[in-house]
Amino acid sequence: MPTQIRIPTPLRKLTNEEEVVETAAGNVGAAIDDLDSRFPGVKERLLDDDGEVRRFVNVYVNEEDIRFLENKDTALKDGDEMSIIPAIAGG
Amino acid sequence: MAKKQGYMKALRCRECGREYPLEARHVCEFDFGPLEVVYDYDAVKAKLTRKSIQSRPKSMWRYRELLPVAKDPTVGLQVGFTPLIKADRLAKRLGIRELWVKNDTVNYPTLSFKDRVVSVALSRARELGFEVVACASTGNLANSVAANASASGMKAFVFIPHDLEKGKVVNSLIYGANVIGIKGHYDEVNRLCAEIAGKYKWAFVNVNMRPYYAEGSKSLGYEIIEQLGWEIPRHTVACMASGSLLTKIHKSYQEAIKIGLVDEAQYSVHGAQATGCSPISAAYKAGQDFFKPVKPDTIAKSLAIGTPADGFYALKVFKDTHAAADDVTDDEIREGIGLLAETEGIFAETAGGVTVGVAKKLIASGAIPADDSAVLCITGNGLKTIDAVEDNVGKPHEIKPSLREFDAFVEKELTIK
Repeated sequence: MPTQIRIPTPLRKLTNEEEVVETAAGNVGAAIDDLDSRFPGVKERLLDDDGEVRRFVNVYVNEEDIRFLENKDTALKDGDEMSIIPAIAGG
Repeated sequence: MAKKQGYMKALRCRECGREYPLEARHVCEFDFGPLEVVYDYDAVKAKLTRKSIQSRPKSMWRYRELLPVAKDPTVGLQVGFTPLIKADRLAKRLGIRELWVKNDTVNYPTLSFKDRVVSVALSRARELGFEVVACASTGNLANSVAANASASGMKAFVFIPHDLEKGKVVNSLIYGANVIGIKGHYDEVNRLCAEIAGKYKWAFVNVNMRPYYAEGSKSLGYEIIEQLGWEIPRHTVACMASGSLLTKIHKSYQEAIKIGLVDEAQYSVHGAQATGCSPISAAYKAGQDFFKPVKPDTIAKSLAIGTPADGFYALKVFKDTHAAADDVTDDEIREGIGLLAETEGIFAETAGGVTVGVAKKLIASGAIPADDSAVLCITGNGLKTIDAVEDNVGKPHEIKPSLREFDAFVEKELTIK
């Protein structure tokens, strides 16, 4: 079972409204490349000009923020779940 | 592109400037930047003057042209205009010439500054046709959403970390809201809510309603200005969880200048965090303009946000206003709560202890000069976080109902003291 990527509302226009997309990529960076090859435009929305994850984008692998893991190098394996979520306000 | 509503012109991305219609949406489709309400400041300026403000009821809504509702507000009409106290006794203890406390521990109806943001968010949610409201909360926001929803006949879902203080849990349940305790810390609650908000078409006050919601905090700043006799305080200290309150206080001061309520003045807005969750203060001290997320571990649960959404903007406020940030330990937080209570008779929750403790440090270090004047924003009530201090306040002296026993007690006390 490949990695499932959960797509946030602001990106669904690009994914033809698909909420979950699968990938066989080996890490987060490769998964973003894979997404972009199938849904052009995704990458420039998630990464800044230096190729880093934009500051208002949070990426999680199995519910853990990738900044606590290996950032874009965080490994993905079969059955993992990757979520892309906009930063939201506090309370 | 966007159609004007009241004094609001559009939603605009803070990062890239793209504009969106005035709907329930919070993120730029292009770069995920937060959206912010754009106002027609010329129209606001023509209507909102010192005179018109002073002729209105004493609530946060006396500044309504600068709050994001299209028509008259319908929720939380009595919120705000909390006391600004001249805190001479605390000033002496902290070693500063002049000190004020903006006392939102007595905000209406749920005793925290969150009533400000919620009255805006729910009034706007109604305008947009929502019947169900929701929030991700560290406690105070949940209390306020639950109470204000019940008062206005809306249905509420509030999501909180499962291990919150009892006072905050009961304070949400009592209003009949659906309270969901998530087995995780706030950042996990937040992440889940972002996903729920994408699925259920509710007004999530701090997700899809965030551009409106966050603006409510500005009323705290307008009130300080008015209560000081139309003057921006030289120094303001505010606690930081997501960093939103601090950035909105800064914005309120800028807007007051822009529409001519006050003269341009130099001011600094300083930030306070708990050491056990201090991503913004740590970034400030390291001289960085970005923060590293942390896993919170502090008694200041209302500030326990390890991934602060407005952290970048808070750091920019320090830079723009030549301000500082610092953080205090759990012991210093308890000490701060005690100090405020003993000197000014105000019982603040843990976040208030953070603000007092950090103010003390900033005054001691000279970041706030001793011969200056400062306002401390005290944002929540201590009755909600009794757990944090109950082991540190001693116990009542128990005696029999006998005058002789009392006399003996007094004699003993007098000999000791």
